[in-house]
Amino acid sequence: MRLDHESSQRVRGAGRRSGLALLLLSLILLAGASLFLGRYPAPYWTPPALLANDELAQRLVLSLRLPRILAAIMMGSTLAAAGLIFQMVFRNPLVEPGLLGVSQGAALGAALSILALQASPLMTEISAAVFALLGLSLSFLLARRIRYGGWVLRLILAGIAVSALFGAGVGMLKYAADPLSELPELTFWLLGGLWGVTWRETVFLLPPVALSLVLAWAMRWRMNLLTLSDESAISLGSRLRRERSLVLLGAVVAVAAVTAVGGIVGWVGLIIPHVARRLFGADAAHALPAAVLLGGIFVLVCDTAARTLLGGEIPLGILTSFIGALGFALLMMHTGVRLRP
Amino acid sequence: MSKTDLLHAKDLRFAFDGASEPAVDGVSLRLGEGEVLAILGPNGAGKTTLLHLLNGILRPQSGQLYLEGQDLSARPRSQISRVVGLVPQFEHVAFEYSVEEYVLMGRAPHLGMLELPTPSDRRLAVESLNQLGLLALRHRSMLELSGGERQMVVLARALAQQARLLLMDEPLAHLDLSNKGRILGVIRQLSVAGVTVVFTTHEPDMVQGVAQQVLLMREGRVVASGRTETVLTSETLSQTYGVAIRVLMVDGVSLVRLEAML
Repeated sequence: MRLDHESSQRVRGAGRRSGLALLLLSLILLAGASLFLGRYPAPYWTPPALLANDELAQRLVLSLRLPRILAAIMMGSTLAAAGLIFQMVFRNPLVEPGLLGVSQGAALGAALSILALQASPLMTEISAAVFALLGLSLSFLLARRIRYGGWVLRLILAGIAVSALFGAGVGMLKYAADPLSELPELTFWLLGGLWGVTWRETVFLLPPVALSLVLAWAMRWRMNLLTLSDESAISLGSRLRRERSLVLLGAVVAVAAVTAVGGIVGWVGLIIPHVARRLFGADAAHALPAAVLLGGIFVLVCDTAARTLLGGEIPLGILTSFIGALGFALLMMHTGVRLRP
Repeated sequence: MSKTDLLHAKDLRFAFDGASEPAVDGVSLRLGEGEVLAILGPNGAGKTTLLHLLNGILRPQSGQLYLEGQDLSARPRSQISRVVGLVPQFEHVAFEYSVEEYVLMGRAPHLGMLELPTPSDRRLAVESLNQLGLLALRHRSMLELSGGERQMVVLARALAQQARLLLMDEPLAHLDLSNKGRILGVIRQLSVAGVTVVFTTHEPDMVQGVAQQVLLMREGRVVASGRTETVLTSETLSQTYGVAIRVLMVDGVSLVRLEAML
């Protein structure tokens, strides 16, 4: 009996581990391929040999595509990991990481900057980041004041209220925006995209994203306790409030950073966690690294398509929804797609 | 207090925010190694609140609570959890954990916040499932289990915790007779192995032969407590539940019946 247990345990562990290794390899290969995908000198492909003597090709690959590829991976990994964490903490598979006022906060910040200040992209990013954190803080403060329900419900309610408030602000600014100049820019920002990314943005993203992913990685098994009832989690030794706030804050600060840079890119934080759990099981020890890799791959593929397919840029949010919804429906219709016996 | 007491509660009192009456009022008890205590009382008598106090999930507003001779409130959470396990009455499962992954969470108190379970933790989880005859469920999803099976798996999780004191909130509710028998058998085995068990129940008939001690509660207060055969009488039960109850002796076994049904 024991022998049987241990050998089957090893097979299961090995299946998931090689699954993760495969995802990592795919991510690296895709990132490498994406460096040479583009519309220079002709649509879809930049021959690597060109890099030897074509200065424009060198600048294109190293100063524009490389930072943008890294930013896309960071964005996807962050949104997917944060989505998984949010769904676990709120014990609800329908929650997404922009919930706590972060997405609408960033949107309002960007809208204010575009309309009121006619600001540069850098100012818009800063303003979006500040308002995203403002939305988050307001949600937490309001949740502490709500006299109804447990902590989790209070946070959700506060997040909804703050998001609606900021959403109203965004609506008002859209209504007031000049339909010829400001409105298109604002709409494009709201649909999300990484067209403005340079090394400056990538370097700005790195610290919060790395910090958040390292924290999540370190707590990848422990955070399973957060999905239990309060009494069970506490009786299993969790200092529930502290651990919950720690993983949430770690996730959400990174989400605020990527939203400030890339706008509101929906669907990733909601759906990738489902795909990760479907393939690797609910245990976050496997589902979390899987979500990080899958999210990175997904946004990288979508962003490469966004900048390559047409002569102009396609908003990233449109592609993530379109490709994501199709892929998701296909995956969920298949039974037995699972790296578990 | 004597050195052998695993748990000693003195005059515990707890009221929820905004409640006019305390949920637990002046409850005292002491339990030694391997002793089994059954807590009986009508709905809302404060049984679950008492279990939460004994586990440190709730802090009493007055009274003292000693675990292994030490003040419970002075011990860190992870340390309490290595000694005290809880099987809650309802357990909501939000995600598709396998039974084995779920039971493995019982090892958390023995692991640091950043640690992963080791092969020996996994072995203990599988052994807990085996002890309850649940090995066949191991790879099943928690979401596919019946209510009774889920209850048994939560118990397996608590066994994996290897606690010296196990608190069970209505472990017999929603179970068929064979599973009730299995749970009572496990409680007996645990007691023989030196584990102290406290469980709440609505079935006085299920208490004898398993619990040496009984605590009867009503509206947060103790109606009677002590050895099972002296506490479970027609008078104390009638007083606890507020209806006429008779304890009949048949072939040396006492049967608890509602007067109205006789």
